[in-house]
Amino acid sequence: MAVTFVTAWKKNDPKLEADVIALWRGMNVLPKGESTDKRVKQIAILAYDDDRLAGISSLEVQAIPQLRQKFAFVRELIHPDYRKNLIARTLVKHTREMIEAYALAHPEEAIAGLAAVFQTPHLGKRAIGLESGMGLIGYTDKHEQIRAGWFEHFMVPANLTPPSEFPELDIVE
Amino acid sequence: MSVEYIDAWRKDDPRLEADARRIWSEPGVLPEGKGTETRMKELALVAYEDGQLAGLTTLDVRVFPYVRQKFAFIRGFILPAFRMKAAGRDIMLETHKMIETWALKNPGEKLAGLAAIIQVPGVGDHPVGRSTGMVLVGYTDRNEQVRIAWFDHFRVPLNLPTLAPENLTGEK
Repeated sequence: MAVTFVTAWKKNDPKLEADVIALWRGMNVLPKGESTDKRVKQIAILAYDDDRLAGISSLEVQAIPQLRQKFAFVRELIHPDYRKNLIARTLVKHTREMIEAYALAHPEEAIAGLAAVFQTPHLGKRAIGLESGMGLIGYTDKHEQIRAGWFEHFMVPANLTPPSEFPELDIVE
Repeated sequence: MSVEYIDAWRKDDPRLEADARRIWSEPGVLPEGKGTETRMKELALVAYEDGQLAGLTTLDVRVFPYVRQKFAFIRGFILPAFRMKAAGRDIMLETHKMIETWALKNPGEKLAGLAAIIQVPGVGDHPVGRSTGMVLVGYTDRNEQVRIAWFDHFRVPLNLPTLAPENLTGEK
């Protein structure tokens, strides 16, 4: 099996988007009420086994009030046939590298780092992820771990936005 | 120049405590209302440069509510004659090593890492400390940065559902 990783972030590529929607529908994983058109614009990196889509990472940029900065929240979906192949780890590594380079090239977006909410109960014994570099910073109301990793180039601004001006963290499952 | 760092953590060493008192007796060193004896229990490391008392660190162990684990909050004081030589950074790094080793040997204490509140304006534009590795994880009510460094050996317990921040003790 030779897995290749394809960048889909902000590409608006109809072929990649069609592959993703087909996998979501096949696995019946889109939450009710969630717009497919909106969610497909968040796809970041796709993992292909030849022509077959094996995994998806997507990113949603949201503020973390506790840190007073915007982070790119990563979600992953791995096809059940590939869950024992460590694709998830490699996918998050590629996603981090891609979005960090994007954030560096787009300073006006002020994306400070990569973040994630761990919705899988067995994940998160290490306080800092080996591949992702994301460290535990808190918990959601449902006791899920919130993880964040700052980008190397990001500098904390001298004038911080007060936490009251950030919206509450909106966790999408 | 040779700097010696002496581990004072939970040692109750009269010589080290006497030197700590000398530093804390200087006007303005301890915050008002903070007694020397309270702080003495937190004494962590004492530094001597060429045999002369140069500075100290203390560690206040308490729960950091965001991550629901116990951290050792470090404070340091360097005597004026020894400042501007990276002495503050060095004593912090030495304290980090000391308390991480202690935590590894004392797993019952469940100490997860080192923490600091950055009270010096102009410090902390990098969210991950270049030399200390301490990561920005929040702010105090006074907009001071809170930074932590997890110990390598620490593993996060995954059975936390009942451990809500409001139920934690040790919080200040």
